[in-house]
Amino acid sequence: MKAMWRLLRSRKLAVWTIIAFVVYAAVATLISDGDWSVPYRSPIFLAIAALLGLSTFACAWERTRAALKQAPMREPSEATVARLRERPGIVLDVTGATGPLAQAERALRGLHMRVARYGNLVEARAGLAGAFGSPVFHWALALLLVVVALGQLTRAEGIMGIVAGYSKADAAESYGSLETGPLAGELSGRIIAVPSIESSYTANGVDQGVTPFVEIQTPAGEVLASGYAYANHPIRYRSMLVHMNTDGLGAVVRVSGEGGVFTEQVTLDYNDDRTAVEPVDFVLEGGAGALATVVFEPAPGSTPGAPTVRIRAAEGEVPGGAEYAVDQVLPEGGSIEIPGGFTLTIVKLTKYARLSVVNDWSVYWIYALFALAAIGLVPAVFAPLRGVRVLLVPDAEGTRLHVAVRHGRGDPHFPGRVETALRAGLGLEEDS
Amino acid sequence: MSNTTEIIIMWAAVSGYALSAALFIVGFVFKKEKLTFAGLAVAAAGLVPHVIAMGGRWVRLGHGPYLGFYEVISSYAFFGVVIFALLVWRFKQLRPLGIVLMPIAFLVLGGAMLAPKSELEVTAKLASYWLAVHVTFAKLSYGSFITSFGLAVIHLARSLKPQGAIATRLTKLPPQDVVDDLTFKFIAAGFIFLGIMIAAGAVWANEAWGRYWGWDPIETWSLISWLCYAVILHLRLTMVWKGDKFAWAAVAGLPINLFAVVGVAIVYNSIHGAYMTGY
Repeated sequence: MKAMWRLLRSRKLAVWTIIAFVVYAAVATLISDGDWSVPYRSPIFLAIAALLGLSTFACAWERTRAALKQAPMREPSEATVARLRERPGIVLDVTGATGPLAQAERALRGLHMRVARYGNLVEARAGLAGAFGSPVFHWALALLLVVVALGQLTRAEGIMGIVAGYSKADAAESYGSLETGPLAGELSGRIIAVPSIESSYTANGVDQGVTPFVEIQTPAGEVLASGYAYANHPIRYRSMLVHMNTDGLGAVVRVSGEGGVFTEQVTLDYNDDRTAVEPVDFVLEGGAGALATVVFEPAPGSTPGAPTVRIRAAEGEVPGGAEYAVDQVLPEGGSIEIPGGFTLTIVKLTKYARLSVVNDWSVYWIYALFALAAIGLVPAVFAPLRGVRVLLVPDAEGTRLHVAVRHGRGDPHFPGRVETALRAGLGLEEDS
Repeated sequence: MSNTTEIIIMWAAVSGYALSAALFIVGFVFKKEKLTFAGLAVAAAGLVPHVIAMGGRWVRLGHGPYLGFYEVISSYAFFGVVIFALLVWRFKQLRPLGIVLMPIAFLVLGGAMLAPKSELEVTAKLASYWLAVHVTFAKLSYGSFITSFGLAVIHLARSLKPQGAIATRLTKLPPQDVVDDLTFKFIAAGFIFLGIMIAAGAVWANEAWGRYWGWDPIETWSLISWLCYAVILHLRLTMVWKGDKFAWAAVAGLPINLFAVVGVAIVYNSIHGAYMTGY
């Protein structure tokens, strides 16, 4: 166990794991085509990411311990004092000066350092935020990896089409396509409603095109969030985000037969370059095994102002291109008898909005951890822990100050700044 | 400002940077210090037509310089020269950095001038204030990394042949440990800026598409670039790489970064690449 911990906190492991991640990602972009995310579901990648997470945790732990040890002011050990006596970084001759340690203290305070006196020794520190910045950054990154992983395991994302004036529930059967993480719970059951769809809507000085007004409601119909959904302006309620994806021709049809009456939303999508609407077919199931296939498509001459729909229908499940017993054009409100004993009525013929609905609780936590990482990183890099130790060394030849300077990042200017401040405080010449 | 006027003014900026590069090189080769001062002044003067041309285009098209190869690359050259000018204003001894940076700025802006100057409009997908945050930090990060590269090259030039012709012409630069520290500072700043750029992009992607990360090649290569610089910072801060080793690492980081910002958009067919090649 100890060996494992030693390995995990190893700086070399951290560096090599990042390099492995980088190499894997670079190769993945070369071999992927189209669905870029596929290589990142492989066990090899997940193992590298898990190792990176563990290494970051170990690193954060080590850095926290180091910061807790280094940051507080403590009286230095005998060995440390002896080392300063034998091998000082800077030596200042203060023979004849009055109260040199008190003046050194003042000079160091002038450098915005906290100062403590232990007999013949002055200890100064600055950059407490820098000392804890690195642990904060590493903890934030480690937690970020955990939150991202948990978010991916529990998120749900799907596409649903809603005809203007209607709604659908956030439930699996409402989606045309739905992806859920392996640990995702039940969908929320909230109602996604589209009371209206504008053909043109201007926001931020840009025409947003076809724009639906979207409401997120409780199952009882209480509106939780609402607004126009367009690019960069999703409708959100807590972790649920509803984006406008695209639009098309939509119909609400009422079907009655021996099995009863039901209403269905039928959505027709444009082709890729939006020059035509693709036909869609669906199978009706009635009572006593009655079955019919109905194909919807815009009728030739249908206009946005006066849409009509061509309906072809046949009894049973019919493969595409087959002969249909019924082939008729209907406007909104039109009704038709179709094989299988069904009566089909076009209740509504208008636009529909294809909405992307995402439920991912982890997103805001990820933002917060990003921000925390940045807050930790800035002082860690630009204002790291600085320390100055000044020892008064009187001997037969006079009195000297032995000074040791430490800068967390090894800034070459820092010893010079300290020496200049001390010399100025002590009234010493630059070259003494 | 018309398109033609903009191009004429932009060529004035290109000419200014070319002259500045020539002055720096001639001043360096013939040890004429006054010429490097002149090179700096001409570089600063070149910024004037550059900002006028970019500003005129901004007003005419109604968006900043972030759509299409010409705008993106031209603005990188602008930020590079601004950072260089600010750096020299703060550390006067770093003037010889212009020997590396001004020829790069001239070539980059000259290359942009030869590309099609497509006048792309802001689409609904792009109309987000996150775009401004994302693009600003992208430019700051690339400017920082290019500067760190220039500093590392100078460090290596002086260190590999201390008595060589190049090193003897760079004696007025700050000591090697100061150049080394500045290289580190620019890498650290670039690392923070790049991190903020990635985070802003993730927020924007979530607002636009409902997902904060999609492993799109440009997202992936931005992360790769960030992680490469994370390795370089680890090498510096935990394994105490200083001097030549650190300078080599800084030099090695830039090609990855440049590929992430320019190469990926051209090589890969992805939704993100459109910012370079047009939507």
